[in-house]
Amino acid sequence: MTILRIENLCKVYGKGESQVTALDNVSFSVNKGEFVAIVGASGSGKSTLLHMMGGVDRPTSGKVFIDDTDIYALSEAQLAIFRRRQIGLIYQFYNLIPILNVEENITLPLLLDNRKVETSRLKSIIETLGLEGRTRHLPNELSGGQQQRVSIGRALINGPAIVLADEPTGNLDSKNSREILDLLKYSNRHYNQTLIMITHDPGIALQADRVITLEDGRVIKDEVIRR
Amino acid sequence: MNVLSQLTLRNLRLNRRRTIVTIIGIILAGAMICGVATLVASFQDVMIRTTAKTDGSHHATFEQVRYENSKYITEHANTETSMLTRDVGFARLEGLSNPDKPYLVISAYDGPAFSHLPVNLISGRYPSEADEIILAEDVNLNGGLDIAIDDTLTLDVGQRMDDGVLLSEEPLSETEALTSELTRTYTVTGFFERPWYMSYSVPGYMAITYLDKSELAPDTFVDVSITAKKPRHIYDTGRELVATSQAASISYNSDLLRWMGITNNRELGDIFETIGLIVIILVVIGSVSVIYNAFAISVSERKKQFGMLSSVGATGRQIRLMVFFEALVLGLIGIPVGILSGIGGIWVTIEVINKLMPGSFMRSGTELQLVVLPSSIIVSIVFIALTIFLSAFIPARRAARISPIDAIRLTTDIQFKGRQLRTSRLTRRLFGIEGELALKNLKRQRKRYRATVFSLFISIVLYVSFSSFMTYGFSSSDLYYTERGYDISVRKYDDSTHEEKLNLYTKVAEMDAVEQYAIVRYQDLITSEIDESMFSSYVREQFIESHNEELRSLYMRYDEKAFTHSCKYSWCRSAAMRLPRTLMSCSSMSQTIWMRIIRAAS
Repeated sequence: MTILRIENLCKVYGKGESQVTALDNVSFSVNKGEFVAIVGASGSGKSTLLHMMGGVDRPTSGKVFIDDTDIYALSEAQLAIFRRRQIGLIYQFYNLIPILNVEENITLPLLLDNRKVETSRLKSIIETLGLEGRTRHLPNELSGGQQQRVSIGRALINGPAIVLADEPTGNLDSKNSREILDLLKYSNRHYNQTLIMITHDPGIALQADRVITLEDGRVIKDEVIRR
Repeated sequence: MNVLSQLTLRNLRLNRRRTIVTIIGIILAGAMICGVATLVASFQDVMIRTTAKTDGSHHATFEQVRYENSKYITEHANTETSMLTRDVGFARLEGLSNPDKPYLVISAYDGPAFSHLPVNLISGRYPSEADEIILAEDVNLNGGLDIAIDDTLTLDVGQRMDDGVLLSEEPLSETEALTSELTRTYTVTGFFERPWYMSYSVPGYMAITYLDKSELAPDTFVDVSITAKKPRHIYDTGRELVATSQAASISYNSDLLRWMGITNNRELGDIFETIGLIVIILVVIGSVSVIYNAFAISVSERKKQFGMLSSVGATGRQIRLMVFFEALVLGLIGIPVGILSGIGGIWVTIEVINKLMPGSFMRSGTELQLVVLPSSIIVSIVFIALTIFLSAFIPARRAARISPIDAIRLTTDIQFKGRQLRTSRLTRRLFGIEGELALKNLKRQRKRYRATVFSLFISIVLYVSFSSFMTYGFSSSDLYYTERGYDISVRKYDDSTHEEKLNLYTKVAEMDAVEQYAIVRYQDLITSEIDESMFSSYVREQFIESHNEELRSLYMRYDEKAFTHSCKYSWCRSAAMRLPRTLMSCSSMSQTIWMRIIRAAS
């Protein structure tokens, strides 16, 4: 079942002479439960692609369908609501709200939706993330690895259609990197969570089911590693 | 409470210094707006009380109404209190020393009239029987009598007739005589201040007796004064009642009504309210610039936070509401404190004014009082709320527009292009490397730099406009209340008659160069044998020291109008108000006349 479909996606920055094409006619689709790694050199357009898939930046042309919804046909407010319900974003620099504690940061998408927090789900996520006893801490009281776990928790709390991770281990040492990656793989297996991850580390990319390689804004390789 | 509100509260607590500065801004705005409103209300109140004292607290007077028709007025739906007065007539009083004033001018007031019309009792009590009377104190002071309370006066009351013409307030004529209408013995129950509206040319002293309605014939003419239940409609009621009661005329207590904000002259409006509104609008503009900056900085510092919230799916509306919630919290703290401190500030101001001018405001014996109207508080709340809303509006919209991508890209460094930071070599030469760095820093944060410049600009503009507004306001009210400036004064100094003088002035007035002129008529009171001890200390210090010679053969000069408007000139005002009343026993009076060319072509 196709959960994400990208059609002829283009993104052009700037105008006239200083014009830069970040994405050039990118098309592919991702099935539910797939773990996709997007690799490419710096400036190849992978972050731009992730932002387009995450509904946080608008493309110049082309379409993105998530769960059969054309997300850029939505209004700004509808898109924001769609984002909080269907997309989980994980950033290299965690992007946690520094003055909310761990539990509040994780449940933020639910709270924005004025929904009740399901205690059992929250508890199981916190246990999976190994954050027991840390729920009342503020982000700056945690290590980098722990902060990234919080942001993973935030991405997963809603059971979104896709989770997008932008170099989630880029800022971590190798031990923490391994643990984070294991967590992401666990969620992928355990919850059948669709996962798209940007990385420039070939070792990490090889742990995915499928690797898409970008160069100068174009998909130059799309290979399935395991099924 | 929802998570975003909690977030806002935490932000406010964490940025304590900015929160306090913003609250102080709101408090200042609130204090100023509420202060202006309260001051306007207090001044309006004192003006109303002063005018009620000098002009009476009635709203309108119907003149020459038949007694039988007075019920239409007294029973009208809009009539609150009604008072009857009547001109009884004149009576010759034996022993009066002033040859120009041989009479008592007798009116009759009923009970309500004594308490509402401007009769200021100095001693004794108001009459309550038809054979009781109170006298203007100048009957003793000017008339040289020595009447005391409980003395009885037997008077032949009648009308002044001169060659078959009925006289009322005209100066004494040599050929006039009094008709005889009734003879009555009155008991003196008190003395009252000589009313300011009584012209000096009236050949008598005022006396008021009690109006006994049972003595009135249906066709007796009376004056009916009323206070209205709805003073706003007094002009309509007045017109209607003149017709139904067949009153000869109506006069409104227009000074009082004007201070109450009621006028039939649309153009005039209420000057105090207008001034108050202008000041409030200036305050709002000033406060918006300060409070706006606080919100703008608060939002720009939290740009990353808003972006993050947006990336986890906060809608623009939610973020906008967050900023407005911040405004609400600050307002809930700032507005009550601001209003209270505004009222407190005005209370202190009024106390100080009353200390500086003890016992009297505008020489009327009324004191300025703090008046806090619910409407001033409501006006203040509305205007501060508006101020805060306007201040938060643009930052809120800006916050809502921050996209997640901005937050993701936003690193701690501010992004800029090298070109923007170029500074001229002159800067370094003039201010050194420190100056250059400072300038680069300003250029790096253009927005904040602009905000700072804008606040400074607004403060200066406000300061200048407010102070010039006050300066011009005061000088224009000075113009209104005191002498107007003029270019040339023309005066014919000889024994020529008024007509001859007027002829000269008319010729001068016809000259091309004269653009605007006024004829001034002065009344000179010349008196002799006054020694310094008869003056109050104020006059001795302020006046006699510097005008010693003039005072030896003292003459006081009054503008004719000044008499009726309690002296327009500070010169004679200070003297007249504090001179003992013996000054009125002038030995002779003469009129001089001259002209003033107010504007002449250069």
